[in-house]
Amino acid sequence: MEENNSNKELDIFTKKYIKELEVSTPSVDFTKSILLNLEKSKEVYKATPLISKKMWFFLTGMMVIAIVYVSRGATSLAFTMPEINLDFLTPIQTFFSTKTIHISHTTAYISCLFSVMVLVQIYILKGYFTKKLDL
Amino acid sequence: MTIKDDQTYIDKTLKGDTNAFAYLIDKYKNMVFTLALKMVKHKEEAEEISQDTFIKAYKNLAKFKGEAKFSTWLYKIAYHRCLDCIKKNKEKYQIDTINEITINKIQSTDTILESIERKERAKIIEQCMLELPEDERSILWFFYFEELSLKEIVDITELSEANVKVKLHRARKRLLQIIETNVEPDLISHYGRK
Repeated sequence: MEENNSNKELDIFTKKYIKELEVSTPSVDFTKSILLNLEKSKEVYKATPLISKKMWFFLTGMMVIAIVYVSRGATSLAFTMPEINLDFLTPIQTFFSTKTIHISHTTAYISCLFSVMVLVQIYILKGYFTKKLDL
Repeated sequence: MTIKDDQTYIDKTLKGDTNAFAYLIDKYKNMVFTLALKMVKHKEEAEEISQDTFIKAYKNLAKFKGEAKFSTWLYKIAYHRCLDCIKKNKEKYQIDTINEITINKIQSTDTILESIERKERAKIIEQCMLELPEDERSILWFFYFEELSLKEIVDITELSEANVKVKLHRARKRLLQIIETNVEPDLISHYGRK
């Protein structure tokens, strides 16, 4: 009973004096600093592509030209590619041959190498940007 | 101002209107800064924490579901940010044991404090509060000054309701004891016993 009464008194006492305390105010340019900070952070995280759209169109165009040139039968070779067993492509080739599309060995080489290049770059770039943006 | 008003400004901020966010900053900056100052006891640090709180709130605004008040959500961010800061500079508090509190003790301390001018008294209480552990200090502030409910305090501190009640109870007792220990002898000698 005594403890309950003293708790009640203590509650009233504490409320009475804490209510008299005042709220503090930060510096005058507080809001401005935050907004400036937010603007800056927007600029830092703006992503720009490594390869621009124009460059992609150019590269695709060059690829198409190269494939067309090769498929028409190039006569001279700067170097010869090493022999790689591409028998695994035979079923695909068979499928496409019935559809009157031929994939030459050169085209197959280019496609494989290009895919490997893209996958490796994506992995490396992802790791690079993850490290950079990891604050 | 109602929760609906805050939600209007939150929606505008999410659509890219930074002036709407500026309104929210101006509305709650004193509240957040006061809490930070109460917890870290250092003005520059409190200002930095307050700014970080609003920046974090802005970046995570889409996650605010509107189930609780925006102020409670802001308080939560600020509170935990303060705790992270305080962990680095852990202080040892003087009073570890709390003596028994009687009605007589409360009344005599009340009498002495009433004899002091209000501004002076507020300074004294402020200084005594700074001697409390930061979690008890903030809970006293939330409960008595901001008049938040236990549920809101539980939401901010992520403690259980039982834990909050215990801390609140201890904090009140400790505050009284600090006033008695630190202030009363000086006040008695200065103002005399009534």
